[in-house]
Amino acid sequence: MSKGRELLVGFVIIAAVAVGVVGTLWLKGVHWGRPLEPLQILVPDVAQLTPGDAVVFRGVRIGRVSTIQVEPDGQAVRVSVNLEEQVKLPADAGGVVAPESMFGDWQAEIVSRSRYPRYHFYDVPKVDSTADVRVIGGYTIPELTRLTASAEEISTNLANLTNRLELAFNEQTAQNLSRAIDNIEAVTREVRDLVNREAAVAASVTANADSALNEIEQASRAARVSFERVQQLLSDAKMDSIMDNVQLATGDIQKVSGVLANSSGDLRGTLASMDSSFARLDRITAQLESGRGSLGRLLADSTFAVRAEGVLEQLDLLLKDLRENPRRYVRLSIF
Amino acid sequence: MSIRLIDVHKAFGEKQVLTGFSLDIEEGQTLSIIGGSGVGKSVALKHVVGLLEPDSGEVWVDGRNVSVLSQEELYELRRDVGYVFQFAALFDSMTVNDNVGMGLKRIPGWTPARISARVEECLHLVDLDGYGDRFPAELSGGQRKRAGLARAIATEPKYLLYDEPTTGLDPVTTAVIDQLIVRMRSELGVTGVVITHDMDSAFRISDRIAMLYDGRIRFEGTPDEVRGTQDRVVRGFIEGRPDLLEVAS
Amino acid sequence: MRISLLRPVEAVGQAVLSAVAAVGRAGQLGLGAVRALRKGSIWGPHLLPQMAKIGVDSVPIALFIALFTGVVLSLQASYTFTGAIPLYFVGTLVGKTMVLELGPVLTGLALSGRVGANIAAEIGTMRVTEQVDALETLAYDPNAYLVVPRVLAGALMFPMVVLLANGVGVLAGWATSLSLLDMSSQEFLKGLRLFFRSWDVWFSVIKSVSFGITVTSVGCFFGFGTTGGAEGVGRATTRSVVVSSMIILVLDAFWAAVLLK
Repeated sequence: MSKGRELLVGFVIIAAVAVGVVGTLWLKGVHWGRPLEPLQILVPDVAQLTPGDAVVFRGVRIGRVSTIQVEPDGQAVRVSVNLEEQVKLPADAGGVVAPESMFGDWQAEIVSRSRYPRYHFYDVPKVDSTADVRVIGGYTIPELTRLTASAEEISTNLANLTNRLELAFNEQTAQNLSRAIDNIEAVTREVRDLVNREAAVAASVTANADSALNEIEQASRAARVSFERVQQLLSDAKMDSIMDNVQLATGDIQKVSGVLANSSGDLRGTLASMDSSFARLDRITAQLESGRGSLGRLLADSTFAVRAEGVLEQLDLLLKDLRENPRRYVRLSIF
Repeated sequence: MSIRLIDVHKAFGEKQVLTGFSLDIEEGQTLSIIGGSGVGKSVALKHVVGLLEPDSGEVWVDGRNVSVLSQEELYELRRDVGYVFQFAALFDSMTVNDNVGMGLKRIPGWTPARISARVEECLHLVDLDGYGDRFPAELSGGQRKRAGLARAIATEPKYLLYDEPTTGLDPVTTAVIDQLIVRMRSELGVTGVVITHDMDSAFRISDRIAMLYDGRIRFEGTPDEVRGTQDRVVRGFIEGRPDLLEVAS
Repeated sequence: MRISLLRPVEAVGQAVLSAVAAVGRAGQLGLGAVRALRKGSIWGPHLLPQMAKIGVDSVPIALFIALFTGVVLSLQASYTFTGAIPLYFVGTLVGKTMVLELGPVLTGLALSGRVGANIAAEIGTMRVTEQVDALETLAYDPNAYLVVPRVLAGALMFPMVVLLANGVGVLAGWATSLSLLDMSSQEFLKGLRLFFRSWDVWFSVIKSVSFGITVTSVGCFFGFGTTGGAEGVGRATTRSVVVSSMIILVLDAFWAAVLLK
C-alpha cells in the first residue's frame, strides 16, 4: 500500500463526508454566524405544515419552521420558528398557516391581524405573554377538502332535520337564511372579481365562469326576494300562505344550487370539490319539496342556519385567499 | 509423537472416497502414499491438517485429535505442520518473499528483520536465492514448487506434508526436490508424508510406502517390501500394468 | 413409470434442499466472519488496501453513472412537467430521485458488477488453486484474511461513493437545467430545497451501507463456494453479480417500506 493510495482513500472519505454534511446543511438552509430570532405561533391545527417549511413576512421568506408540537393540554399546536432576518414585526402580529402552492408545500405567514379581521386567530394564553420567546396566535386556512367535509356534515344534518318534529317557522331563522343568501351573493361577486382579474391567465375558463356567476347572482337575488316575501308573511302570521311561499323559496334555492353546481363544473380545479357538496344541497332541497318533512321544521332549527353560515364564511375566507394569492390556485385550472 | 489416521471415512455427496482409511506414520520417518489419480490421496492428506473433517474415524497429530480441536487449537497445530501443495498454491498477489514469510508473521515475537533473514535462509535451502522479489507468475513450474516448499518449511514444522511435489517436473528438478525431502528428514528430523505416483521418487525418499486403493490402505511396507510384494494391485501399479489391477478388482 | 412420475417432485425437492443448504452455508460464512472480527491482526493490514480497491477505484464509474443520471433526470422531468407543473419542480425531482433512489441503487448495481464480480473471481481463483487451503495451513483464518476486510471496506466505502454520486448527480441536474432548460439557479434551488429533508441523506447512507455489505459478502460467498477450475470461477462470478443485484433491489424495496413512512 503506497502512501499515494492511502492519501487517495483519505481524500475520497473526506470529500464524500463533506458532500454529505455540507450539502445537507446547505439544502436545509442553515445560516452560519447569524443569530436566529425565535418565535412561536399557537394554532388550533397545523394542517400540512412540517418542520423546514418557510416563514414568510410581507411575501419575503424570513425564516423556517423548526419544530411542531402539540400543547400538553391538547388544545393547540405550538409551532416554533426561527427567523433569520432581523425584522420588526407588527404589534398585532398573527400567524397564518396556508398552502404555499397547490403541491402540498405549506408556509407560515406572519401578518398584521388588522388586515384579516375575519380570521379567528388563536388567543394566546396569559402564561405565554410573559415568556422569553414571543408567542403569537395563528390561524390555519381551511382546505378545500375540509370545506367539502363540513358541507357534507351539514347536508347530513339537514337530512336528519327534515325528519324531525314540526316546529314553527320563526323570524330569527328567516333572517339567518336571508343573511346566508346575502353571503352567497357577496361570495359570487368576489369570485367574479377574481376571475375577471385572472382573465389573462385562463380566458376560456373565465368566460364560462363569468356567465355562470352572473346567473348565480341573479338566482340569489331572486331567492332573496322570495325570502323577503317570507318575512313579510311571517309578520302577518299567516301560516298557510307561509308554507306556499316556502315552496316558492325552495324552488329558488334549488335554482341557486343548480347554477352553483354548473358553474363549479366550469371552474373545475378550484371549485371542483365544492361541486359535490352543492349537489348534495340540491338533493336535500329536492327532498324538502317532495314533502318529506316541511321546510318549517327544518328552518326552525337555527343550528342549520348557523352552520350554513359557517360554511359560507369559510368559503368566503377561501375565496378571499384565492383573490389575494391567486397563483396558489389558478395554476390548477390549467391542467 | 506421530500422525495416526484411524478408520477414516469420507464421502463427497454420493461418492465414497475414503472407506476405513487407517495409517500410522512414525516420528522422523518419511512415508509415501501411492495410488492412482483420484483415489483420494490428497483427501487423506487434507484430513491431517484439518482442512477436511472425517465423516467418521479419528485423526491424531502430535497427540492431538484433530477433529475435536477448536479453531484456535487447530491453527496452533498447523504451525507445526508444513503443507506443500500440488500446484504450490502461492499467493498471486504477493512476492515470493512475502509468500514464504506469511506463516512467520503469525508467530508472536518475530520482528520483520528476523522474518526476512529466515525467508532468505529458506529460499537458499530450495535454491531460489535472488528470486524473492519476483511474483509467482514470473516463476517456472519447478521454481514455484520450490517456493511452495520454502513456504512450508519456513516455520520449522515438525511435520511436512507433500502433495505430489514432483509431478510434472523434469527429471533434474525432480531429483533436486527429492534431495530436499530427504534432507528435511535427515538434517531437521522432520516427519514427512508424501503423496506421489512417481515410483522412482517414492523409492528414493521413503522409509515406508503405503498404497491407497479403493478408499483404504491396500499395502504398507518398506521400499524393499514393496518391490518384493506379490500383491497384484501393488505390482500392477508400480509396474504400470493395468491388466493386473483389473483382475484384482 | 413410477420413477419418471416422481422426477419433477424430486427435482423440486432437490432445488429446495440445495437452496436451504446455501442459506446454511451463507449463515456459516456470516458467523465465521463475525467471529473473525476479533482477529484484527489478520484483517487490519488489508482493510485500507481493500478500501482503496473497493471504494476509491469505484469512484470514476459511479460518478460517470451519476453524471448522466442527473442530466437525464433533469431533461425528463422538464419534459414531463411541460406546461402543467412549475419548472422548479425539476429541482425537487432531481434531488429526491437522485438521493433517495438512483444514487444508491445505480451505484450499488454498478459496483455489484465491478466489486462483487472481482471479489468472487479473486476468491474463486484462490479456492480452486488451493490458495485458500494454503491460508488455512499457514494459520490464517480465511474469513479474517479475505472476508472481513472486504465486507468492512464495502460497508465503509459504499456510502462514500454514493454520497459523491449523489452530489455529482444533483450538480449535473442543476447544470443541465441551467444550460439546456432555460431555468435559473434560483428556480432549481427552490425546487431542490422545497421538500428536502436531512433524513433523505441518512436514508441514502443506510441503503448504501447495506448494499456494500451485500455486494462484498455475496462475492465472498460465491468465491468460497467455487469448484471446478476456470469454468467454476466464471460461474461463481456470474452468480455473484446476479444474486447481489437481486438482493440490492429487494433491499431497496425493504428499506423504502421500513424507513420511508
